[in-house]
Amino acid sequence: MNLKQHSIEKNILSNKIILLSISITIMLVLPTVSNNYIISLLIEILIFSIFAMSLDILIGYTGLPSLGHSAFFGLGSYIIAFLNSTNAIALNVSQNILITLPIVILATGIMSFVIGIIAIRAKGIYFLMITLAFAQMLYSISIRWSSVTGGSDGITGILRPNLVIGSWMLQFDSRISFYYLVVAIFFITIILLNQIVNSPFGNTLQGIKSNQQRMLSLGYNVNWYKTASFVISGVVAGISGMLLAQFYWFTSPENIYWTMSGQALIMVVLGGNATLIGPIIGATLMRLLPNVTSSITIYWQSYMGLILIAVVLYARNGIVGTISKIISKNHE
Amino acid sequence: MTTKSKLYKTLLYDKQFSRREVIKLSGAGAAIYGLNSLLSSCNTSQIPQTTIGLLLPFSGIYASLGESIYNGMRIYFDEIQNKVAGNNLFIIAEDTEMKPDVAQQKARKLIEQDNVDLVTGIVSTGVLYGLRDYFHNNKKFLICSNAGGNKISREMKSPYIWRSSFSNWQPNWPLGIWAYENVATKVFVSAPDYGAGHNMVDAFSNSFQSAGGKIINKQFTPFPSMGDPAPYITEIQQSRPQMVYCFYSGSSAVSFINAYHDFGLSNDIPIVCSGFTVEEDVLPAQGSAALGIKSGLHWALSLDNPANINFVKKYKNLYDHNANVFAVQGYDTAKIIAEMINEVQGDSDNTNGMINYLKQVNFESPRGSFGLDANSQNPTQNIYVREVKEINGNLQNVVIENLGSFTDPGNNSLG
Amino acid sequence: MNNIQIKKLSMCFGNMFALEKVSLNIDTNGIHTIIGPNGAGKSTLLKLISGHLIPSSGSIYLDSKEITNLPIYTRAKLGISCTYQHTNLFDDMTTIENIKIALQQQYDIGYKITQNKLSKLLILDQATQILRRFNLDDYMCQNTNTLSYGHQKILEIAISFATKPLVLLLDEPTSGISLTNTKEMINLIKQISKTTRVILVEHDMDVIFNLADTITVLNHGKIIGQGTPSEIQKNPTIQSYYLGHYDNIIT
Repeated sequence: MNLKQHSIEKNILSNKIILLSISITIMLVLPTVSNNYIISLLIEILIFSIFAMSLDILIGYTGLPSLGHSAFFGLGSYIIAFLNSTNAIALNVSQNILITLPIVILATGIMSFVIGIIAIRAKGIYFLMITLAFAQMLYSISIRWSSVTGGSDGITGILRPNLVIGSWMLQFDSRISFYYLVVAIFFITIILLNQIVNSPFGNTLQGIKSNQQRMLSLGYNVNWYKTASFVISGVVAGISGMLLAQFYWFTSPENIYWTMSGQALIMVVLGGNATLIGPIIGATLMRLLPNVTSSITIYWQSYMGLILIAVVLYARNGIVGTISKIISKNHE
Repeated sequence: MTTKSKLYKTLLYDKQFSRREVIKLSGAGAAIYGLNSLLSSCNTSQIPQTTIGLLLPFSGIYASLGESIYNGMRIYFDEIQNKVAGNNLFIIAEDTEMKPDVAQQKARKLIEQDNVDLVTGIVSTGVLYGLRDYFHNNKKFLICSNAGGNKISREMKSPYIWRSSFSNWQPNWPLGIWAYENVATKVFVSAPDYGAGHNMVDAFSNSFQSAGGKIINKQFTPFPSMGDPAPYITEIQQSRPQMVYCFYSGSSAVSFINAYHDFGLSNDIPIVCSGFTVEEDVLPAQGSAALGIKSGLHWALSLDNPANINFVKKYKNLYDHNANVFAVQGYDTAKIIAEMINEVQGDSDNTNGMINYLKQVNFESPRGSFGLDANSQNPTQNIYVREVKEINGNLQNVVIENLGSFTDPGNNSLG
Repeated sequence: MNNIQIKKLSMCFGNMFALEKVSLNIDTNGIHTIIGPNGAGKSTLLKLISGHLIPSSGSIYLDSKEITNLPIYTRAKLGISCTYQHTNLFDDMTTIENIKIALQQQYDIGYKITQNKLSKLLILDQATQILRRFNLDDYMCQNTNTLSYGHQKILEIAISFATKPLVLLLDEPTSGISLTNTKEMINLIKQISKTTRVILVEHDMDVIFNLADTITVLNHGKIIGQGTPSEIQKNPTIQSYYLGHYDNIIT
């Protein structure tokens, strides 16, 4: 039994590595065979995948249904706007991603810690409401404090980063180079998050999702773990927000608005929560569908709604969850 | 001629087709076109055609504005039989929903996938600002047909982004002086708390104050939804101003003006407002509550000039309701685009040619004499003071004074 | 060591006292049983010790360290572990995963984002041993919600046991399970009590007299008697209060 399980685990692991290397190769080769527009779609999909994966940590793995995740997404985008843009508002600290990225991580980390420590005290629907409230608060600040945030106009002129080590410099200005940067961050994120959810810490989070009271009586400081999960997820969301702002050269309060959280939530639910791959599929669908269908019908949102209702009613584990269920059934 | 161009020709001529169907079919056409271009990417012989990308909100709170602009454009393209520089003219419309991120994606699709010659549309300033760097950095033309954010004529100016509509500053600055000289010297100001609201209020307040007037209170209401207007009207009531200046649009314009009337303030405290507050799209819903309201705008339904009479009549015939300022903007935008393409003989890569054309645009528009200002890249146009009056049982914005020709100053010196 | 000391502990819900100035020392080894009719305050007392409830007044000590107001997880870390009357497992996980989660807390690696092979194997090995000890090894890879209720209750104890508690609080471990399972359960609890102090709340008189080393009798939130099983059986007050209505007790 022992040995068998061990070999199964090993098998899964090697499968994962193969899958990962195949997808990395595809991602690296893709630009050579696709046009500029496809690349821009890929960049968006990858950025929103990172965003959706970060929410999956919270919803899928820790069981905290946040509707305020756009707060960190938006925060990341605004922080990079302050750090490095041609706008008069900017402080112009540096264009070097080795400097800006840690600042974004630190700032979104602190913010998500502060919000997290308060929000995780609420459960279920109340957690949802409290995260929503925090996000709407930031949204309202972003609109009203226009001398700092640019108000509803947003902030333009956000620069794409470069990477400077000594005299050696890489520019991510062109779309293709920015694409490679996003691909790199995407894979680093997926590897890190995969490591996290499969570690003892990940087990702890899943234990909390499954049965919080039991975790307490086993001696787990549940609030501490929830906060940690909230911070990890907030930071990753912040990074994705930063990337989107750099890609668009722009950020606006729309990035903090609750519909952005809603979008991520749909990506997670649609793709399948607690899978990491699910949110990526969800993000792909959500970003591609309007693009494919809205030229044909302006009612793509209604179709999306129908799909979502179907998923929630008949495939509660989302696309990935349902497929893996079918596969495992066939194996039996 | 491809199937697609036939498709468009029939569509644009046949008024029986609804906008939705046009978009639907244009999408199908675009899909065919996309496929074609993918399959024959090595094929150098191009069918002569001009494709215009249209970015408008067709869903969400600005959907009716998007529709009006599109309707206005169709009238002009009909007039020129959908031909520019000898080419067939196609429009590919995309729904931006008023979300900057959606608009970005759609803009990329239009330019990179559909290879449109230029892009037009844009209703909300947030979307315009969000697209600014994309168009600027890629040197692609964007003719903005509505969004009035001042910055695009000022610090955010790009040689590739021109505006055929207005800047938020434009109608409100002359209105401020006029209001001081003709209505009252003390004003209460109310507007939604977002970019356009602040732009308009700043322009009005600055000119009103520079004329010697006094702002007794500035009220900024929540955006996008004001909710129940009662508390804001009460605040106005308690301040007892001589006059109220406001800017609202869409459903907030209706609820604000109606509540103002219900509170019995409309007889005592006159409203002078931005023209959008009582424009033709909201006037029917406001009804008699809007009677007597004076507003400043670059157009009025009742403007007595041949271009306008012609346009208003055609619009009513085609769509069964009155034209509005957005439709006029669409109409003028279409004209500018068509003549610009003619000027460069269909070669949309001729950037300098297009810029040179835009710099000297001048024609008689339904708005009166209309030009583009080379400095602010914004229209030079008349600003009219209008008053809502009942004529033959219909409410109408009647021009009571032409304040003369204005353009955006191109900097923030005047608010 | 591992003494639980309770001083003038009161708990009210609204105007009603569930416990009223209860003082109790649990300082002998073996199985300490709390009995009493329904609503006597047995479960409340257990929950106050585990931290699921915070008392209205009074105090609780573990080896002269006050734990009255400590949160559940701190008490668990100090060695007080509880099981639940109605099973409270990680339903969507397998049996062995349930044990593993308890073990990773026991080894204090629950916060780690990396785990070496040795530690993985160690935990796997430990978990297998525990399951074997509780005769659950056949159901190792089964989801817990597919186990029989009796097995779920045994797993409930196994999870708590995996954290190597000093004091194990058991709330009616035999309620609702079959006779065979009950026998198995009695044996398991006896085994556990050799290394761990057990405080047991129980209805079943057979189980009580089979297991208990000392008994505390509660009625209406007050202690009405205390002693070894034989002492309790002889106590006239308790007999009149409690054992006399033997039939009524088992509900």
